[in-house]
Amino acid sequence: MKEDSIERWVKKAIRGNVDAYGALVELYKTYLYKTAWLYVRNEDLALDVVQESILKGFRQIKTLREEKYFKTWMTRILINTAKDMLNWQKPLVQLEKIQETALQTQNRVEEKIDLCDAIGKLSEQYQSVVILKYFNDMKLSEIAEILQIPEGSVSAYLFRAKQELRSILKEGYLYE
Amino acid sequence: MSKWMEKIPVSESLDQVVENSLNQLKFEQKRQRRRRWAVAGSATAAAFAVAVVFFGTHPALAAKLPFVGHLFEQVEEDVSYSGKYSEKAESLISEEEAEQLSHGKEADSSYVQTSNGVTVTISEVYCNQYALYLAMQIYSEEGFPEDFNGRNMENKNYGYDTIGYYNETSYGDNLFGVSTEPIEGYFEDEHTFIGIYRDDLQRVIDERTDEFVPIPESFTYKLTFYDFWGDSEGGGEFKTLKPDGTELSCVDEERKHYQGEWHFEMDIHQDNSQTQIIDVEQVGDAGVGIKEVVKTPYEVTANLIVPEGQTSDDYMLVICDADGDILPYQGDSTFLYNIYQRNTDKVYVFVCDFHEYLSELKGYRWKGDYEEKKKEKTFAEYLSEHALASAEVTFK
Repeated sequence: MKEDSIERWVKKAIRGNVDAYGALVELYKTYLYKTAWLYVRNEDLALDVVQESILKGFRQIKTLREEKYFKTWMTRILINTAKDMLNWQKPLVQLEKIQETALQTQNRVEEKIDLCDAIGKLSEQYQSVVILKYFNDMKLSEIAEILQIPEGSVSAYLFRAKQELRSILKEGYLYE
Repeated sequence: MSKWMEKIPVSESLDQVVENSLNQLKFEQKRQRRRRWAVAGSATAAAFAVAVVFFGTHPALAAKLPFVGHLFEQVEEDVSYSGKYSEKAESLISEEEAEQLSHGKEADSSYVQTSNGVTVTISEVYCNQYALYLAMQIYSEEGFPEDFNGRNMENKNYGYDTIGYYNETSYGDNLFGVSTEPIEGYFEDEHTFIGIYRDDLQRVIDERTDEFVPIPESFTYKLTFYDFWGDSEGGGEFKTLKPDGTELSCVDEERKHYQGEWHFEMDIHQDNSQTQIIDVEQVGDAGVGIKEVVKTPYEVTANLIVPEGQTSDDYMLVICDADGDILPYQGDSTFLYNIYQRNTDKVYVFVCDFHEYLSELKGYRWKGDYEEKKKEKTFAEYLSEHALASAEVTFK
């Protein structure tokens, strides 16, 4: 879908058109789910995050000032929802992760599992910049907008995050 | 999408979750629409029947005629915060002025302001400690475009029309407001909009501290509008593609502004005569509780007791009517509930964990099968099993 078409859907959604909003959700649902999964690393929780974000997004859509930033704005809602849900579910998630890890140990050949586990060990702000930069291919300016921090901080977080990741993963893994 | 992102498997349930979420949004919207149209239809039908015949032959007089002095009566059921404001409102226009205006004559009233061909009349006011309501008429000499803010849309999303605005408000020294919700109402004809402006008095800021503060019981209210606006479908037709690749015809929109300056000033005294405050003082095991429950003629809310270091925003306040069903939110606030046409002689008040309510508990009410489920267990009964604190309160 072209950018200008997306903006027209966003305009209609802002005016209360659920179908237009639904079209946007359809467009971004995979992206939203995968981003949510990277935060919570649990299928059911990721689905909960997506559901809650879709509902919040429509109810708050009048606060979106510029149509072209819909995806950025929606990502911010999703990340905040994921963080909230993760804090709330923390004890439960930790228990489930122990069980999952036990099951996955035999099949840990895929690099994504290693990387996701490594990202999970980073502090919260580092996790966000790494997910948005390396998984969602976002520009520094977009990440800064989503996380509401200066671009310089994004660069700094990325630098520090990569240093930490290097000590967890093989040297050069993030520079492919 | 990066190669790592591509490797993350997508849940087979994603489509179902998306569909459920969109269905819930549609359900909420339909429910709002049904409620509003149901009450609007009967009350305004008679007035329309008379007005349409007369306006049909005297369009120029139409804006000045209709219901000045009785605007609340005409529109109070056509807004999202319905209520019988007409029974308690104070008229700002004298009977003599109303009579003059009703005959299309000019009236010397500070509550009728004209700027750049747009006349704004504030006819009545009602104020309590939570909100100030103004009954307004906005008359445009050139007329509002046929598609202004979708006023002739067959499929209205909310069951009422709106006009956006930019304004400034003050409530005495150092106190100013941040009202942004559109004026709600309906277009009486192509020149005339009748609506209610709701000013949320819980969002008054003291500029010295930048904090929300309660307003005094009596104050001078200054209100200046600088712009009224709405979207029109002025950008022409265009074709676009749905995500599934099929083509769809759309109409582009552009924003139309009516700029000028319309200044109003009025002395306000809160009417809290029918406000009932019931002390509850119940605290649950989690240290959160209900201090008191407050009911005004139009809304009900509660003040919470929260553990040190937390605020009420960390929790979800839910209020159900005597039948055990959740009340609608009043305006934009999730702490104020509208009571119009609901039995609130008794209410059930719950304080829930914010995340638990949003991610789990509310689903009991908003999934499509509630009508069946409530025969076994109402929403209030369900919440009583999960809330951090609850109270059953009976009003006089």
